[in-house]
Amino acid sequence: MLIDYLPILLLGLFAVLFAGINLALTHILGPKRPNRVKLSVYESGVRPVGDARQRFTIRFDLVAMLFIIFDIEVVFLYPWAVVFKKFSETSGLFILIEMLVFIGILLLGYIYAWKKGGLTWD
Amino acid sequence: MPIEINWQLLMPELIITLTLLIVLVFDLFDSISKAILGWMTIVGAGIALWVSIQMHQAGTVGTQFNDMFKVDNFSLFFNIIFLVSTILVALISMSYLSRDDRKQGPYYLLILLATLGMMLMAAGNELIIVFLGLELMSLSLYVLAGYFRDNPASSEAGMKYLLLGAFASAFFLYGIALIYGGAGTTNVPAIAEAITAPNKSPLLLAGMFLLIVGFGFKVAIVPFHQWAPDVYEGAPTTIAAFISAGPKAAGFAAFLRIFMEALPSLQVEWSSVVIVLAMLTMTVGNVIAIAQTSIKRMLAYSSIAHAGYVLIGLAAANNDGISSAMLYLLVYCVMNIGAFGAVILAKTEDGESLMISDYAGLGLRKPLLAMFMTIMLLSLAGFPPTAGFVGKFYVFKSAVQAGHIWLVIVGAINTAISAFYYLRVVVTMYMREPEEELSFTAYPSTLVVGLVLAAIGVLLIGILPSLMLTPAQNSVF
Repeated sequence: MLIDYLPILLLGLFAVLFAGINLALTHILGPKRPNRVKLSVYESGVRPVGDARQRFTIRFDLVAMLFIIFDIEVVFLYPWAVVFKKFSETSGLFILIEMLVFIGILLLGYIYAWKKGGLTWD
Repeated sequence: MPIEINWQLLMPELIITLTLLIVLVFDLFDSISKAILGWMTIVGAGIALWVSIQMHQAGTVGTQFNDMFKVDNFSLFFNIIFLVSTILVALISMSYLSRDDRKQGPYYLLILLATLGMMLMAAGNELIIVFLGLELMSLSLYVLAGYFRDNPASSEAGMKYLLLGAFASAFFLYGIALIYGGAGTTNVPAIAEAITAPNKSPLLLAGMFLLIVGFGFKVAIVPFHQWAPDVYEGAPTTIAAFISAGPKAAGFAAFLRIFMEALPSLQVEWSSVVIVLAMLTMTVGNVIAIAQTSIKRMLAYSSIAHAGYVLIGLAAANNDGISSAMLYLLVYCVMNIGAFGAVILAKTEDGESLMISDYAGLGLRKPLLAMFMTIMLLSLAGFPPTAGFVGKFYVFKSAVQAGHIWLVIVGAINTAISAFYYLRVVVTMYMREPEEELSFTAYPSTLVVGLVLAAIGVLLIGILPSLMLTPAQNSVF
């Protein structure tokens, strides 16, 4: 039974070897003439200023959380819309109401976040 | 394809959801006194409790949502445990929070959300649903543990709980993934059918051990208990009571259901692990509790030890074992919330009395408080005629019947050890003089009501064990 997985193992081995050998070859054979422009972080980009470890306000966190909640709401609407036709003849109204309840609860959450000042920046 | 939903089966969960939404809406209006939110929580949980009891007596059984959600006496009995805990915690929270009006709304919301998560865990007939409930419960508890943001200890508790809890959830999820790999399904009864074959795949065994680790974290079993004392000490005292009661029962609910119903054919493997864990948990919890000077840490280690006693029921792995573990969890929730409630009651004008030495001389100065504390501690220690004795008695009895004599001997020795540190508090209260005169705040009436209910519960179950034992015996799946 385990022998069935042999092709996968071979594929994995081949991938590792292929990538590894190519990397090693370019490392050994390639000519190296470094200069400052080549060694910069983005060769043709903006010159880097400082490092990435900057502090930024915690409020982004709240915005990000609210975004995810409503983003997922929309994502959830897609599969619902896809299966809606299948159910529409027998219980279309029911699952329509179900979705309205779902959106209603999220709307309530939105109002809650709004009222509690989750959407104001200062 | 028509969809059929049996709303009656979902009644307790729907009532809690509705209560949650009502509390949310009322929290939006600033003109309303926030104290009403606590009462709404209690009324909502009370109705759900009443419905659960009715359904339990009627013996309602059924599954919903493509066999993902199973209502039976087992889940209903656990619903009763969760809702009783929620009501008691809401009662002891009201005076504790009243200082800050702004904090009340989210507090009760999160408590209700956690309760809903626990109910999902107990009724989960699918590992995914159990995980969903576990996360719903845990996420609410992380926030609650760090609820007093201005207090560094509370923030630390929330952070520690979040990091370790998320880690444990990952273990749990990995266990689910491996079991799915081994059995080809995540449905609890279907897993049991899939693994009746004599060859036990290593995937299943690895998944099972990861599940034990995940549950071990959530219910604070040694050696996965490290978070418990820090979290209990730092979290608001009401939340420490809540975390130690309902979520632990919920963890055991899913633990019992998954291991007894989905993995019975691996019983040889898991029961030996559970026996070792039970012995370790009881011994480590009780021995370390002796060394504690803070009452909240002492109660934290004691709650770890109590998880060990419940594990004895699981190790027995027979019907008596399950029913006695369930009875024990009910009793434990009531007495532990009562003990934490007594700690809140012992508040002086300087703040909470958190050291055991602060309790010196309370026996004469605060007789009511000392009485509550004594009842709860005696029950935790397992003295008759309290509920703690009944709980321990049936757990030990089931293990003897299953032939685990050594486990019971270790349990009995541990009970003796635990009596030392529980009674030390009682001795401090009645036989020591206080070092300085303390000025106490007045007793808040809701807190006293909560403690009276807990004390009545503890004594009633202690005197009439069949009151709760018979329902528990009827609840084995």
